[in-house]
Amino acid sequence: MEDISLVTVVLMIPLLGLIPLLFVRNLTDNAIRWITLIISLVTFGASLLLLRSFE
Amino acid sequence: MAQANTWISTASFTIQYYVGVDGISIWLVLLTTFIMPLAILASFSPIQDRVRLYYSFMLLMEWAMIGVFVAQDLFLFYIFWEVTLVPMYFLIGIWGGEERIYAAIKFFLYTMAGSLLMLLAILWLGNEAGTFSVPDILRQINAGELSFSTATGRWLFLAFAIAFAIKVPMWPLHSWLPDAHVQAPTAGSVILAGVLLKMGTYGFVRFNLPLFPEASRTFAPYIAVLAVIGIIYGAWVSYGQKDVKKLVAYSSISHLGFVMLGIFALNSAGIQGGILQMVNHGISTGGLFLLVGMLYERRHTKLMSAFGGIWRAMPLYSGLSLIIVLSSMGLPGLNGFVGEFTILLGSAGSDVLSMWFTAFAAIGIILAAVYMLYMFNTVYMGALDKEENKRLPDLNWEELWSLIPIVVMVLLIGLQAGFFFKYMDNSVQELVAQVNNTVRDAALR
Repeated sequence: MEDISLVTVVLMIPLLGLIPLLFVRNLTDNAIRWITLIISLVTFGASLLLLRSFE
Repeated sequence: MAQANTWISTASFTIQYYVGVDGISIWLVLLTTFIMPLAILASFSPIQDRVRLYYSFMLLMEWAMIGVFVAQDLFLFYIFWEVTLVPMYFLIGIWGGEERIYAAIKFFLYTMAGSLLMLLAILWLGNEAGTFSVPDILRQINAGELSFSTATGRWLFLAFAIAFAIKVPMWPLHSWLPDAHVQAPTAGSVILAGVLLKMGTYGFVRFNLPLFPEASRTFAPYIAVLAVIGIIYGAWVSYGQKDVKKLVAYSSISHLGFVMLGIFALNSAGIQGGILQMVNHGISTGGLFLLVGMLYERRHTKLMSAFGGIWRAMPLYSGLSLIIVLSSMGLPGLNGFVGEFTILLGSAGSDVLSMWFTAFAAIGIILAAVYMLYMFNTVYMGALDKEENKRLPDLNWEELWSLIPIVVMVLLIGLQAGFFFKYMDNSVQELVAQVNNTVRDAALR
């Protein structure tokens, strides 16, 4: 079941990351850049876990 | 590794939220999640206008691209496939170059036209099978519960193949690519070359081969002809370019010709080489577009003649460029070599392709060395005789950190390719068995 949810987790992280970008109005441009970068790095980390659990 | 939940269910068909990865798709998911932070980091300085919208599109794009690679339901796959068009259309159309609207519309219309054919094939399959789940459709085919005539199989194959061939893009359906690449912002080009084009090659591996094995064998030589023409044409046209971004764009047509040749060798070596080369191309060409973008940010030109001798002004940039250029050329010890070598090995050992395909494809490797070295010589080597180039700043930290992971992966895949092949072994063996067994069973019937 862990493996099952991990695919969805990897898929959904970028979509969840859209929430602050779309709904938090007072973010500076720099904050937006860093939030997006961090979300993409978290997605990459989660996909590495996917590879690990693939073994 | 999968998750399946019923999404829409009626008496006649079921659509599922069905996602999963195997030894093939895991590498494309990883390629996507690897390329995206680099593309985002490379956008920090160049993108100063409508920042919130830009990064929202970047995340939407990442979501849709991962969705394409994990979808196990044809309907779900189609939705993700179409969604990828929207953010890329706006990335090119809003943040692109002077002719961005033309390029964005051309990109959209080309892909959309192919997609409609695929939609018809998906609807036909879903209607016949009562499900859009690919594993269920395959089970029905293998159990003899779902069968279609040879002619129907070939039409369905072509409907999927045209959509994927436009996306790859295969010669002669490639004309949208140079426009889109040249007009797209740097990150757009990186994502386009790094991931979006792989959706086409992946589609062939994921759907055409297992669902229509008979048609795959029938059409393999024809597709291989187009692949080899693409290899040589892409390389030849690259050599003739004056714009360095166009050179890299046309080189993609050549490199992806290799991927297609490997896939339609229809054996393990060819398909494994093709999958690894998808990853290699994403990394190397993504890196080349990053490099071009960095030059453009400094000089606001992409003409090779505007440069020359920049190694002296930008030694760190030039040193990393050399590694990425050599990897794109397929130098032994770097990632491109392993992919192309394995593809040629598969092509040479294929029982559906003659040795001539391998021989002509090998010419592409020589031509790649010619145009890449010509570009490197023109831009980086020689005298630093243009005043504007003498004070070009070397890499800043953002640029450095977007290139270092690329160089690490170039070396890692080049030296440890076995690690990558190990993961795809089982999935590729199953795919090859599916293609061969279904064809054998059909012959026995």
